Amino acid sequence: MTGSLSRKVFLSLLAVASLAMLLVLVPLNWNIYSSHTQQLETAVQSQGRILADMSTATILFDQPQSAETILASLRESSDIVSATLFRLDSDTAELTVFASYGDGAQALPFTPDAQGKSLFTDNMLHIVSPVLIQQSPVGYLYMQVKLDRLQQQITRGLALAAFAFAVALLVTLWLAHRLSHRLLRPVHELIAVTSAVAQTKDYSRRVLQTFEAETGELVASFNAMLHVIENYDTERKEKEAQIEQLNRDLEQRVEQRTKQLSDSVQHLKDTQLKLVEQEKMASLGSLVAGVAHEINTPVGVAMTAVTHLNYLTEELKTAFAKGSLTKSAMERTLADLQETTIITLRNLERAAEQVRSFKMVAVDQSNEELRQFNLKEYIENVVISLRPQLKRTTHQVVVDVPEHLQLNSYPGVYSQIFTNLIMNSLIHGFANIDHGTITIQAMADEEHLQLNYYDNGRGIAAAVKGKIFEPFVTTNRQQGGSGLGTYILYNLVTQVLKGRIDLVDDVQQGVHFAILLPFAQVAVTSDSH
Amino acid sequence: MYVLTRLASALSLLMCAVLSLPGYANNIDEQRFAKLQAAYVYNIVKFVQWPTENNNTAFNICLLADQKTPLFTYFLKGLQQQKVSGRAVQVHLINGAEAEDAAHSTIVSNCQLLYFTREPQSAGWPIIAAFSDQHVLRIAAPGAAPNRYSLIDLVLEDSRISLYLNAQALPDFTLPLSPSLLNITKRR
Repeated sequence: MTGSLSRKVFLSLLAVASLAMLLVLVPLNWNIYSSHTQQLETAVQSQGRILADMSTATILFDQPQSAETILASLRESSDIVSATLFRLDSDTAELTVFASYGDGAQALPFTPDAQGKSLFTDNMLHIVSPVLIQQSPVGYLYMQVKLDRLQQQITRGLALAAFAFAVALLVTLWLAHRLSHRLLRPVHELIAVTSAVAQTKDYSRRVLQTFEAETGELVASFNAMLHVIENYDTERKEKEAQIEQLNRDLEQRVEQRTKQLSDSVQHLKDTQLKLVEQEKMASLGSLVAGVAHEINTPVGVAMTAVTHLNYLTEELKTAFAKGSLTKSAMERTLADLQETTIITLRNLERAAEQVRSFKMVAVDQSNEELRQFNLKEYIENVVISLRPQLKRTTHQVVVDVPEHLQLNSYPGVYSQIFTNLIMNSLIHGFANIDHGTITIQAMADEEHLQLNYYDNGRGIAAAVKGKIFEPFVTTNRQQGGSGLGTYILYNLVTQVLKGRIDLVDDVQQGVHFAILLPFAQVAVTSDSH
Repeated sequence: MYVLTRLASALSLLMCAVLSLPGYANNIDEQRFAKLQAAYVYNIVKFVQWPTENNNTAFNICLLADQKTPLFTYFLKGLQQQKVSGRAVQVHLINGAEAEDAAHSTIVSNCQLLYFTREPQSAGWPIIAAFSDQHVLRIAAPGAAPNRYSLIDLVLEDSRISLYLNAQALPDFTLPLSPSLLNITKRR
C-alpha cells in the first residue's frame, strides 16, 4: 500500500514534469520551426525582390549578360538551387526565359502575379518575385531554394529539445524519487506507529524521528493526538473499571431485589391462595349458614309438631290409663295425630330435600369430582342454595337452559361460578335496585358449550372493566369485598374447565359474562344431542 | 501607366528585333534607328527618381540636333503624349543657332532631359553651360562623340546599343539613379 502510494507520487510527479516539459518544448519547437521557415521565406523573398529590382534594366534594355551576372551573385547563397529570370510579353502575356542560374532554366510551378508568390514542397521552397517597372511587371524571377539547411536546423533543434527533454526527465526522475521518498518517509513512520498502536493498543508509542517543515508539524500533531488518545484511553479504562464495579454492585443489588421480589411474589401467592381458600371457606360458611337457616324452619315446625304429637300421645295414654278415653276423644286425638304427623312429615321432607340439595352443592363445592349431572337442575339447585340471599329481595333468576343437557364435568366448579356471579349481581349489580333480573342461558353445539350470564343491574365501572378478572379488583372494598370473586371465576373457567370467559360489552344495562367451554371438557350427554 | 508600360515593352521588343538582325549597324534604316533611340531615352528616364513637386508641369525632353534630323519627328511621335512620373512629356528641338537664343528662353531653362546628337562644343554650342543644372539628365546619342557634359552615352557596339556612364559627370547630376540602370551601364 505504501509502496503503491510512493509509486503513485513518483509517477504523478514524473507525469506532471513530463507534461510541463512537453507543453513547453512542443510549442517552442513548433515556434522555432515556424520562425525558421518564415525567416527563410522572408530572406529569400527579400533577396528575390532585390535581384528582381536589379534585373529590371537588364530586361528593359535587353541585357541578358548583365542579368546572368546579377543572378550569378546567388552563388553566395548555397541553398539556392536555381534562379530563372523570365521576360513578360505584354501583348501575349507569354513568359520567355531571359536568364538563368544554377540547375538551368526551370518552369514556373504556378501562375505568378504582381505581388509574387512562395510555395513549400517536400524539400524545396519556390519563390517567384515580379520584375516591376513603375509598378507594372515586365518579368519574373523564379528561385528554387532547397530546405536541407532548414531541415538540418530543425533536426538540430529537435535533437537539442530531445536531449533537453531527456536530461530534464532524468533530473525529474531523480527529483521525483527523492521527493517522494522524502515526502513519504514521515508517512511510513506514521503508518508503522499507527499499525503498532492498532495491534497493541499501546497509545504510549510515538514517532521519534524528527522531520522538517509541514511533515514535522504533521508528526508533532500525530504525537499530540496519540497523547490525547492515551489520556482518553486511560480515563476510559478507569471509567470502565468504575462501570464494571457499578455493574457488579448493581447485579448484586438486582439479585437481592429479585430474591426479595421473588419472596414477595411467593408470599403474595401464598396469601392469595390463603385468601382464595378463605373466600371459599367464607362462601361455604355462608352456604352452611343459609342452609342452617333454611332447615331451621321445617325442622322447628317438625319439632313443634312432634312435641304436639308427644303431648297428644301422652294425653291419649293418660286417658286410656284412666279409662276415660272416649270414642270421640279417640277419634279427635287420632285426627290430630294424623295431622301433626303429616305436618311433621311434610316439614321433615322439606328439610330433607333442602339438606339433599345443599349437600349436593356443598359437597360439590368442597370436592371437585368429575361426575355426570343435569345442567339445568344443577343451576336451579345452586339458585335454591342462594335462596336465603334471594328471598330477602324481589330479584328474579331466570334459568334458560335446555332441560336434558347432561354434562360430565365438575359440578362444584359450576356451582362456584354461578354462586360467584349471582352473589356479585346481588351485592354489586343490584345495589339500590329493587327488582333485578338475572338470566342464565346455555347453548350447546357440536364443539362448544356457550353459557351466558346476564343481569340488568348497574353494570361494572369503566375503570374496572379492563381488569375485572385481575385479583383484588373490587368497588366494594369498604363493605368487605375481597376482590377475588371474578379472579376465582376466571381461574375456574380457564384452568379447570379449559374454557374462556369474557365480559361482553353488548348490553345497555347490567353485565353480560360469556363463558365458552370446549366439549372435550364438558362431555355433553344430552338427549337433545 | 499601363499604356506607358506597353509602349516601353513594345519599344524594347522593337529594339530587340531590330538589333538582332545581322549587319544592322551598316544597313539600318535611319528612321527605325531614331525610334530605337527614342525608346532608349524613354526607358532611361524611368530609372531616375524625378522630383514630385512639379507634377502639374510638363516633362520637357530637349533634343539638341540639326533642324533636318528625323529624330525629332520620331521623338515627337513616340514620346509626345507619354508621361513620366505623372507629367506629360513634351519634346523640343533645339538646334545650334537657336541655342544661342534659347539660352534665356523658358523652354531651355525648363528642360529635364537633354539629348545630344553631336558633340556640343564641336557644334559651337556654348550654351551648353546653361544645361549644367544638376537636375537635367544629359544623354548622348550613338555617334555623338563622348563629351564631358553627357551623363549617359548610347554607344553602338557589335550591332547593339550599349549604355556608358560618365563617372566625371555623375557628381553634377544629383537626382537618384536606379542601381538597376547603373548595373547595366559600362564605365567610360
